[in-house]
Amino acid sequence: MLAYIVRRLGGAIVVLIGISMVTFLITFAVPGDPARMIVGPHASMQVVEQVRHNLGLDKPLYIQYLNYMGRLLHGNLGYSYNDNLPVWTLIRQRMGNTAQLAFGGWIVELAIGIPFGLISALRHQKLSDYVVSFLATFGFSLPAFWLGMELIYNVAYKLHWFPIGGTGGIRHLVLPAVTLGIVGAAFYQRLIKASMLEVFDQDYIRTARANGVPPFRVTFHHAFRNGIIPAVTYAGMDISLLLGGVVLIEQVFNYPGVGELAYMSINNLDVPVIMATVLLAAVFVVVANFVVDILYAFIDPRITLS
Amino acid sequence: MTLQATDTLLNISNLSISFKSDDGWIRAVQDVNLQMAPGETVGLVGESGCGKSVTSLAIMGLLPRTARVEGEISLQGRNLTTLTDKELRRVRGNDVSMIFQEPMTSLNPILRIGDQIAEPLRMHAHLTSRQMSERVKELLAQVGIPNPARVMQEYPHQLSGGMRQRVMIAMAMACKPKLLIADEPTTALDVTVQAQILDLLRKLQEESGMSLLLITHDLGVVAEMCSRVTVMYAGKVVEECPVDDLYYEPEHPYTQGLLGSLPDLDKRERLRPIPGQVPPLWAMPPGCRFAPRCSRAMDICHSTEPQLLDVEPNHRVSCWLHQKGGTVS
Ligand SMILES: Nc1ncnc2c1ncn2[C@@H]1O[C@H](COP(=O)(O)OP(=O)(O)OP(=O)(O)O)[C@@H](O)[C@H]1O
Ligand code: SF4
Ligand SMILES: [Mg+2]
Repeated sequence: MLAYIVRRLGGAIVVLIGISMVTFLITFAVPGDPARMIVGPHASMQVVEQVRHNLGLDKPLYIQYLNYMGRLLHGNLGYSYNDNLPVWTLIRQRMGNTAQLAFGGWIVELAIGIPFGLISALRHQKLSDYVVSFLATFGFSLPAFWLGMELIYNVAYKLHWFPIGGTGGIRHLVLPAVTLGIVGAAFYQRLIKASMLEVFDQDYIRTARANGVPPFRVTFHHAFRNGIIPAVTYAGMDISLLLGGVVLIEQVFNYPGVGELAYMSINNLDVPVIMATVLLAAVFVVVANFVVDILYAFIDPRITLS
Repeated sequence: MTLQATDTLLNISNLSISFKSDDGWIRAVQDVNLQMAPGETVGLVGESGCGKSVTSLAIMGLLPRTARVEGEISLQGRNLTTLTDKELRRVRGNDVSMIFQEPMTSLNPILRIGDQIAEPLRMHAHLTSRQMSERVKELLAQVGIPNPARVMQEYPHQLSGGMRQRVMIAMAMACKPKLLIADEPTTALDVTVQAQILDLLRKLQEESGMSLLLITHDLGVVAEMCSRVTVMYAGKVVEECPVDDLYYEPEHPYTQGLLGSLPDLDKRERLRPIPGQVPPLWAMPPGCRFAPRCSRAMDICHSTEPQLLDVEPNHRVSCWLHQKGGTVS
């Protein structure tokens, strides 16, 4: 177990270094001059050069990268070019919000996807299967942006059921999480349907029925945990999709999260913030996948963590 | 000596089973009759695809919904084919249980052995959880599993094929069934393990007095275990007799072929195929289904089906060689 954790940690570090390099390269490959962005279009060339020098942006790229990583190792994420606040302060305020939103979206995905998938499998090729499959696919094909706007207009603005945007508690979370979840639920619906259909065909299900077990118990005690295994695996990948969705949803709902911060930092070429948000997302994905693997071993006794 | 109705545990009469296909109903089993007395071991033999498993699944009510069952299957005078799902569930795993050919896949990979063996008890017996776990331990010991307390906590992948089949047997015995159906219980196992499992089945049967319907390819197993045997070919019964008759006076050319292809009964070899192939379900010959492969086929064999008739008390054969209309050559 310890060896397993050490190996996973090693892998995670390699992944994070790789991601940091690629992100660093990309921020410099895009057209635009961070120094010029900081001082504004009317500052003189001299001022721009001064800022460039102060920030170390005149050094070769690999030196800049090594400097950045050196500071990172000391827990220093640097200062935002944009508002001169420590990056960590910016992120810390928003991290919890985003984690809540991503988690909420995931819960909604499961809350729709799992029952829908079960219905589809249990009523395979019957009307309810077609209805539920259609709904899931329909939800998937809605643009998240548009769906979010619709919900804001109808449910928040007109009906006043939920706040229009911002944060402040579970009520603020509902609409953005539902938007995220509706769009992602179709994957789980299909996955659960396919895997449950496969499980229902297995010999051990026939054994359960041969023991006189009624259908409800066959489905939930004997089949469900086997059928859910692929969904757990998928959840690991889904985290990154969710984070992608979060960037957009936070814009739509004016939700102060890391996604919104990332979006603004890209617009402003605020390199330290870009780096920090991307690395944070990567850490999140790595940790989530680790949790998923542990969960996987927990559900399936054939899997051992080694 | 024919079986009296009161002596009959299981009475299958005129059982036909069809499956729905794109071209309509395809009949896999036709007019099968089979009786079993309490405590009796009956063998059901025949080549692959002749309908042995389908027949046993029909007894359990476990055929897929695409199957149609006609005829009657009664257990102690109660017709199982007309029971509701709920009534049938009370029979399964309780009065009748079944073990399958594939011990590797017949157990649930994510449930503990003890939990799985307890399942029929949970369904049919009213026990406290302490009593249940005692009973599970007892069952595991009864089927010869060393260290039951530990094995209860294990998962199927931690056990060998032979051990898993023992677990399946323990599960099937949990509610002391009146009838155990064993569908090729040893086919997937090593030869030495096969013998152990058969010994175990025989021991359990003697102890409990249950009836055993043993489905097998293996005539050596039949000789050792069974008192009577039913031979099926292409979905129909072709011969039915006491096991001694089968070896000393087989009457049906198919049965003779099966035996002829078995060099030494004690060596327990698998059936070596008779030349030719079983006709597919959708293209059954109009006469005797064995006619295309039968070296003794006559004209009438190709046009008219023979009936299953007594040639001696307790010995029935379906062959024109043994009934009026055929000419014995
Ligand atoms: N669900 C099903 N749908 C359609 N046809 C089926 C189905 N199950 C079985 N059959 C057909 O019924 C026939 C009898 O099959 P069965 O499994 O009873 O054979 P068997 O005698 O047990 O053979 P084996 O020795 O290989 O186990 C076969 O032709 C098979 O293809
Ligand atoms: S009825 Fe005819 S074809 Fe069929 S087994 Fe008898 S002799 Fe052969
Ligand atoms: Mg079979």
